[in-house]
Amino acid sequence: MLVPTMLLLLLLVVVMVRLIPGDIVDILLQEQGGQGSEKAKVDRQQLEDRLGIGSPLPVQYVSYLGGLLKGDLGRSLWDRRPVRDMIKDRFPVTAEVALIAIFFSVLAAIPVGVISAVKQDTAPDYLLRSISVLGISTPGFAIGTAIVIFPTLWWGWAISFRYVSFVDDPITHLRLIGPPAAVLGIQLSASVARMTRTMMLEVMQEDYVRTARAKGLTNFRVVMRHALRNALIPVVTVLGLQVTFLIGGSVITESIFALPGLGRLLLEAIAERDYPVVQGIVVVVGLLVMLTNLAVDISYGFLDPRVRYS
Amino acid sequence: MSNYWTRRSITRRSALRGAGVGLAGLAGAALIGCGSDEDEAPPAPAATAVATSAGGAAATATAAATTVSAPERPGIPVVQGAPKPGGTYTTATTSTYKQHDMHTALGPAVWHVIGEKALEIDSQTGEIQPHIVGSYESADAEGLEVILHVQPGVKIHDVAPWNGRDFTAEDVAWNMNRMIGSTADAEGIPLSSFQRASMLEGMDRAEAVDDAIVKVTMARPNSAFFNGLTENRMPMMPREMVEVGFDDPLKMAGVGAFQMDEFVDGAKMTYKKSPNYFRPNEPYFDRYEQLVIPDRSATLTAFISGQVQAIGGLQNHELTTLKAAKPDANYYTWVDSNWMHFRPNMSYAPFADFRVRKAMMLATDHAALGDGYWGEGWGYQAALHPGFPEAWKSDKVKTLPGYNPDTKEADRAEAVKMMEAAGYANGAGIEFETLYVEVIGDTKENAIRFQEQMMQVFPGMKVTVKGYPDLASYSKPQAESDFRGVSYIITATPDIVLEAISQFHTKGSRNYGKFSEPALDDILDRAQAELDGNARTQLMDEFQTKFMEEWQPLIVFYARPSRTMLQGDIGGFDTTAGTWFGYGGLTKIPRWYYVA
Repeated sequence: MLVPTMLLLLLLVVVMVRLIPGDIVDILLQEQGGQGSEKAKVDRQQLEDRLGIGSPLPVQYVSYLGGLLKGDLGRSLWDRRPVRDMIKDRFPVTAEVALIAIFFSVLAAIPVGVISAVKQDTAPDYLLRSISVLGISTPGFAIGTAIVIFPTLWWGWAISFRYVSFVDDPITHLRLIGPPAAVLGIQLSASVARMTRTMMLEVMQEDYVRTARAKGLTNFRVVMRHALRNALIPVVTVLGLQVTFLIGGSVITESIFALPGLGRLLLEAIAERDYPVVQGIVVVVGLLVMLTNLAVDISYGFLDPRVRYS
Repeated sequence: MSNYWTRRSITRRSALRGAGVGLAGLAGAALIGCGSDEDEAPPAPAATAVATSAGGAAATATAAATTVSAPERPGIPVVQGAPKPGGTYTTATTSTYKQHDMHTALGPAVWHVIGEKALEIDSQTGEIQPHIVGSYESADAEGLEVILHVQPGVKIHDVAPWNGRDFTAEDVAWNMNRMIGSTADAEGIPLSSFQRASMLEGMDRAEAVDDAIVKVTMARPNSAFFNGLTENRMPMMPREMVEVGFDDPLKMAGVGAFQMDEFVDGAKMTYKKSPNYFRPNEPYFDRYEQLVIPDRSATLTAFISGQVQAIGGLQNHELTTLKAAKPDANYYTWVDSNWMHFRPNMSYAPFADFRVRKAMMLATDHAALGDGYWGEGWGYQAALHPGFPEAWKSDKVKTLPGYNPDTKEADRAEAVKMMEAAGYANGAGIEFETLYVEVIGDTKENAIRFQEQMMQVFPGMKVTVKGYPDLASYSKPQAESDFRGVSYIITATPDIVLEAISQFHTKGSRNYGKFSEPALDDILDRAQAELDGNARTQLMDEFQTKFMEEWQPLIVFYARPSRTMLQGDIGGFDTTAGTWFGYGGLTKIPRWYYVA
């Protein structure tokens, strides 16, 4: 299923990105008026041919596919850098932020969801649910902007905008990565917390949980050892599906926190109509999402003994 | 009698001295031309001696920098204190540069930092200043042969394969030939990719006579030729650059005050001081950094926290925030080289009638447009930008019908009559959509306000607006003249004739509205060939008069204000602030410094 899905995804992105009004040639020729003239048509054709976007769409699609099979994601239309290299440079930043966001959200969301479920319809439950709703409903860019600007205005403290790689200075690097990961983590943890609470409430109604209580096990043991493990199965699914959200969210957080990640590269490429870069990122992200879903499916076998793949 | 072709070389000091009076007039005109009633300059703090902007005797260093608004130039404070060599100057940019071939780049490039132009332009007066080319002269009376003298001691950065060699006449000639696209076929690059060709209109070829002399052969005379060399996007490169390639900025070297140090895609571009820069005592900073900060709120934060030393393009609400958060920062404002306008397409029948265009112009409330978006600091503009020495200044333009706030009611009454005489009583029968770009905020607001004004004065007129999300989507309909009206921004080229040709001549590259008038073309053709400065100025005066009285090819809204804040310990900025400041002043950074 992976291959046909990727082919379809690729076809969609190749077509859709070219449907956006305007292309790189329009940008390059914006100051050369008289575009309706014969000379303008010649200019346009020459530029399109030079950039490799002059041939018919099916030809471009097949050519791109051919390149993909050789691991060639093409070159940026603007600075001619190999797209593979551009993604290789930017991907680690996005991946790091995403992983830390997932770690943060799991660390925060699961205890919140459990407590909320155990203390159902009490003050702690109401409070935690309200916080979750707030986290879900507040846009990421609002949280990010608030984190950036308000501490500066109120307390004279600002995050650094001077990007440093982990290799150069790990401590400073983590300080740079922390706030955007927190923004993504807050939003992710809100939905994970709600899912955890819902599943916990459902699982705690199960017979085996009642049996565990009847056996005289402590509440802690019942919740943590019996209920939580089963409640986590759909939560893992949610976390896996959040890869797409994290990539999308990275566009915003990387812009606000000035991180040179994949999300920002995608945004710039769309604005600049850099087709190969957009295509390359979508291919990579699409592959990542599918592989993540596959990993989630496989993980069921470990989380739930009833599920075994032959 | 001044003559563009026999002008002797001028020093920076003499240019600044001579520009003093003109500067006062220009600043005063800009101030009077502002739409706001609040024309007062900010009050000066306790009087202290003002450091001369021409680099004269510096004031005694004090413990903390103090600022005084220079009386000649309201809005341009002068920071006291002796230059303290060293330090890093940091600015924010929205992305790392992508186009590294200066001759084909659309906008800023690393060459604006690591390179220099053949000639510079005085930010305040628009006068040409020597730079790589120290002087120039005409070898004949017809202006068909020009001699450029390359300054001695201009050295390329100590980077292989140049290793600090001299930048010679051969390099200058190579740049000029390539700028006009002479190597297009050989390199397999479409001719239209050479964006700056029109700046050297009429040039046939450039040849190095020896290491110091370039002989330029013209196919036809061009009085704007030297101004063309001062255009923003004319920094020069060493002649080996095509072989070296334009893929890796770290392999590039120029003659600028700074040389490449780091290029981290998407994150930062950093430069270090070049020890063999040809201008004495410059640069003052040891390093220059451009941090990529795409988000505007983040840029404000970076400035407030001192991570960047400058922030430009300030909107009203940002000014309020910054002035409160950084009371020690200095605020600079002047009338920018960018101007806003409504351009009608002559292919739409009503717009082909002068009376319709003129009526719409008379009905436009320019003050409401400028004040509505900017508040204060914008300038009145008639046909051409008031920053050109030959152009009508804002104080004069403000008195003209259509611009004068005091006669707006009478102008509108006249507009209604004119529209009726054209056969469109109350605008009935005129229907158009104005295109604008979302990412350039004032194009949108101008379009909407213009719509309101037109429909208020001409109730029968139907006006709608359409926004495009970015330049890529907007460029196509504009460049293909596929519109009835656009609200857009133009950055003026550094010569009045060049500017007029590109905007209004039938062959003009930016004449998107397809305006064509033989008499206009004739004046501009003559002005382009006119080598006598006074005669040229007279021709352009005639152009401006006829623009308003007979042609009105488009409706100029206003000249934009430039608004920049710098940290309080940065000096020297006042010497470079002005209409022809250029791309964020990238080429001016060598003249700024931390104060002791």
